[in-house]
Amino acid sequence: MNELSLEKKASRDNLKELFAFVEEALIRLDAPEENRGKMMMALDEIVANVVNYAYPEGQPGTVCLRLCRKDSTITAEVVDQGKAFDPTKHPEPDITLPIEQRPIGGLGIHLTRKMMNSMKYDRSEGKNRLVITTSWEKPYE
Amino acid sequence: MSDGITLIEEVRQDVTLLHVMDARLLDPLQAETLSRHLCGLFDSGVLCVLVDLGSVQSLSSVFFRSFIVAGKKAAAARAKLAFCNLSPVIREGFALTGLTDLFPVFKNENEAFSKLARS
Repeated sequence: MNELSLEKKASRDNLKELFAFVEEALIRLDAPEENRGKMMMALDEIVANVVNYAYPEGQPGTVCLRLCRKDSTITAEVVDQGKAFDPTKHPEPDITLPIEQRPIGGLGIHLTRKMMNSMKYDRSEGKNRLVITTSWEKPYE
Repeated sequence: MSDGITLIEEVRQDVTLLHVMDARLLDPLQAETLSRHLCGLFDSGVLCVLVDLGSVQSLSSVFFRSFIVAGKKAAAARAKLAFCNLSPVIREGFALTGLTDLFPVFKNENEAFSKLARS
């Protein structure tokens, strides 16, 4: 099987199950350890953002995760029906500031953008659809 | 263990070594607990804290926020916060977010103690 998906209510109570699904899916898709770690870090961030900010407090909608593998690329798609949010347009934090001036937040999306090979956002039919990929070099055969 | 995060603390050569024992650090409550613990150490007069992340396989960016909060506290107290035993992915996360410019990051405890003891 090269594709796995899960749809759950986007609530904090479901975070553990969503994260566990991501980990299990990446193992089943046989992603290399490094790509698995990067994708887990990215999806932890994206899913937590949906759970915490996409829907009004106390009225969670759904979050749908789909992971698939083609050759040496893992693609993950995250879909929600919450308020529009395009992380590809999120401003870059200044990571050169000294500790005293460094803002506390804003690193998660930056990290996701940098760790993934690609990140694409689309808003249609009232849904946010974010697609990220991580790739690796095939061993010589 | 407190609030879903397991921390083991020891003091060696005037350095407080904090082992984080969880494999996955994802929960914002865990991050808050870690941040509070680190800030508490600096408030109590500890001058050097080394955080061992050797057991941690994955952590969310909310922990980077905790480290910055604790780093600000350390800077205000003229104390030092350092890290060791980072997995390659976490090390990359530190580099991509500029944390390697803010904190000393060591390959392992031996390297950390040899350099922290000299500084």
